[in-house]
Order: sequence, then structure tokens, then C-alpha cells
Amino acid sequence: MNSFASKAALLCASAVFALGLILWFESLYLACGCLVILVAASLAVLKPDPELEERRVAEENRRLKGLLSELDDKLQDTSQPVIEELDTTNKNIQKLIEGSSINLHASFNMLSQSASAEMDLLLGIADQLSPAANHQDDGECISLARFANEVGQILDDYVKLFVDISDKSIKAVHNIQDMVAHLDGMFVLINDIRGIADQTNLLALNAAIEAARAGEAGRGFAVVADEVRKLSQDSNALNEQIRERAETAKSTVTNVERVVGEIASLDMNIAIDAKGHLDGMLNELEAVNVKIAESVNQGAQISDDIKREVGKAVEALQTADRVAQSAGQMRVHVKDLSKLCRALSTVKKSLKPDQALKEAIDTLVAIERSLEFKSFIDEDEAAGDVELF
Amino acid sequence: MSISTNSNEKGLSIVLAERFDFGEVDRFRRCYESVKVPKGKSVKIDFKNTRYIDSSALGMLINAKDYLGGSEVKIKLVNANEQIKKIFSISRFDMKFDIE
Repeated sequence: MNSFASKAALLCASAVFALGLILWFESLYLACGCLVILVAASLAVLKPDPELEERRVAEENRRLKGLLSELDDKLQDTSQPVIEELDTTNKNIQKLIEGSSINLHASFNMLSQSASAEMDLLLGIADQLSPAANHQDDGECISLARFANEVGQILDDYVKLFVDISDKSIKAVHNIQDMVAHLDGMFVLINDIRGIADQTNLLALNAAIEAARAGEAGRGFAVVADEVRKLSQDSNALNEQIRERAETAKSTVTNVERVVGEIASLDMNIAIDAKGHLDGMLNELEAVNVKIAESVNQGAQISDDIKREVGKAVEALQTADRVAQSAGQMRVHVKDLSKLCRALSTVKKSLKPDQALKEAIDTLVAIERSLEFKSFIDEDEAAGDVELF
Repeated sequence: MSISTNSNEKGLSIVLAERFDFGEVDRFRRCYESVKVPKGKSVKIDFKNTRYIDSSALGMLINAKDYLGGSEVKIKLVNANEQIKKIFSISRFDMKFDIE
């Protein structure tokens, strides 16, 4: 480049000098001759020195090599710690991900188990509460419905007893009334006996009068008449006693009738109220029962949901493995990078930097190819994994 | 208003008093025992005036049924108010009598 510029400058100077000669000598031929001589002389002066040229190239080469080596050193110096740091960071990432993924797996498994246990428990409760549980009548499971049934049965029995007592009492009362009627019949008969005794007394009196009129002959007959009169009076006294007894019996029987009546007459409103209260309470309990069963079923459903979500989370955790894989791949890339750096360092050592550079470029291309291949696989995997979410 | 009876070709109809309790035992018994009810006819016991019954009423009705049931007579309990119907329901009388 320099030589070219000096040659051009020389030519220009020659041209100017030729013009000057033309004007000085006022003869074109003389001037031309002088110019030819001048050009020849200058060409001889400017002829390149091959030795000098070679030295200059070598100098240039050395300088470039020095620069390259400096660049390489700098590259090595800066890249090596970065590569090492990257490698350690990668290792850490892999370790951390593996550790936390194991922990997450364990805790998700526990969560899933707990959810299952909770669901079983809730379903058990629901089963106990449901009316269907009554069918397995093994005496141990006491359900509300069964309890209600038992209480209702007891109340029914109680009312039945009520009605039965009343029925029997009324029958007794009817019998007592019949008995009173018979006693009243007896009083009529007692009155009849009294009439007969009175008539006998009257007859005995008449007989005594007739005996007194007969005088001495009727004395014995008067004794008999007196005895008959006494008998009729005794009979009357006895009759009176029977009557008194019968009256007592009648009043006693009437008392019995009253007592039996009290037994028979129970206020049914108590039973109605009891039954009403019981029905109300049972209805309320049944409603509560249904509500509890509903809630428990809902709880079981929620547990099921939790289990499903945990399953999804575990599936999602599989991406952690992919992250670890990516970290591994990153390490491979880092290794490639260090390989590249090494390839560059050989340039410095080689005597033929051109060839070494070419080799380095080839290595770079090879690494690039492998990188492209890996990233392609990565994309493929990623596309396949999308379905998981 | 006391208990009254009315006998016609359909059968016997007994209209009860305001209270049908133990005080009515004798009168009620006479109502169905005094009249001969022919076979196949029905005895209607009317509660239209009745506002209170106790357990002895149930006993009386069962006794009447026992007495009349022998001659295949149907007993109908009519015009009972809500409270009395409840008593019939609790004591399962709806199984033993026709309640209208």
C-alpha cells in the first residue's frame, strides 16, 4: 500500500517536473528525453527490496500471533472460572431439584394417603348415618332411625295398654252394674220376706187371741202362738241384718265402680302431646341426620378432589426430572464450551495458525451441530409433555 | 245436650253428648243394648256435638263393638273433630272401626 502511494507520488512529481522542463527548454523532444531519463532513474531508485519485504511479513505474523495468543489467554482466563462456576451451579441445581422433588413426592404421597384415610372415615360415617345401615341389623350399630322406631313402638304399646285397661275396666263396670241390678232384685225379695214375716206375726197374734178366748183349753195353743210370733220377729230381725249387709255390699260395689271408673278414665291428651312431641323431635333429628350425612358426603367428595389434585401435582413433579435432565444437558454444553476454548488454545501452540484456526472452526461447527440436534430433541420432549398439564 | 238415639231402616244412629267419658258409661250401654239391631245393618256413632273424650270412651267403643260384633253389625264413627281423630289414630282405632 505504501509503495503504491510512493509510486503515485513519484509519477505525479515526474509529470510536474516534465511540464517544467517543457516550459524551460521550449522543446518537446528535449523535455521527453529528460523525462525518460528521470523515470528510469526513479524506477531504479524505487525498485522493491525482497529481503525487506519478507522481514516485514514475518514481523506482521509475529505481531498477529502475539495478539491471538493474548486473546486466547484472555479467553481462557475469563471463560475458565465462568465454566467452572456454571458447572458447580448446574450440579447444585441438579442436587437441589432431586432433593426437593424427592421430598415433594414423599409429602404428596402422605397427602394422598391422608386424603384417602379421611375419605374412608367420612364414607364410614355416612354409611352409619344412612337408613340403609339399618338393614344390617347386627344389634351393634345403633342408628337414629332404629332408635326412633323403638321409641315409637314403645309409645304404641303404651297406648295399646291404655286402651286395653280401659276396655277391661268398662267390662268390669258393666259387670258391677249388673251386680247392682241383682242386689236391687235382692232388696225386693227381702221386702217380700219381711211382708211374709209381718203376716206370720199377725197370724200368731190372731191365734193368741183365739187361744185366750178358748180359756183353759187354749192355754197350750197360746204358748205355740207366742213361739210363732217370736219366730216371726226373729225372722224380721234377721231379714233386717241381711238387708243391712246387702246395703253395705251395694255401697262397696258402687265404690269399686267409681275406682274402676277412675282407672278407665285417663286423659288421652297427654298421650297425644307425648306422641306429637316425639314425632316432632324425631323429625328434627331426622333432618339433622340428613344434613350431617350430606355434609359428610360432601367432605368425602372434597377428599376425593384433593386426592385427584395431588395426583396431578405428582404428575407435574415429573417436570422436575426434566429440569434435572436440562441441567445435565447444560453441563454437556459447558463441556463443549470448554472444548472450544481448548481448541482455540492449540492455535497458539501450532506453527501453522491457519490450519489450527480452520480446525478450531471445524470443532465449532461440530459443536454447533450437536447443539442443534439436542435442542431439537428438547423441543420434541416439551411438545410431548404439554398434555400433562 | 245429652246422648240420643235414632233408629230407622238403615240402622241405629247414636248422637253423643258434649263429653263422652266415664259418666256416659251407663247411658251409652243402654243406647245399644236397648235396641235390637238386625244383621247387616250399621250403627252410626255421631261425634258432631262431642268435644272431649277420654280413654274410657275407647273402652266403651270396644265394648260396644264386642257386643254388636257378635251380630255382624258394622260400627261407623262419624263427624269426629281433629283432636278426637288424633286420639283414634294414636290408639290405632282406624284399624278397628270405620272412621268417616
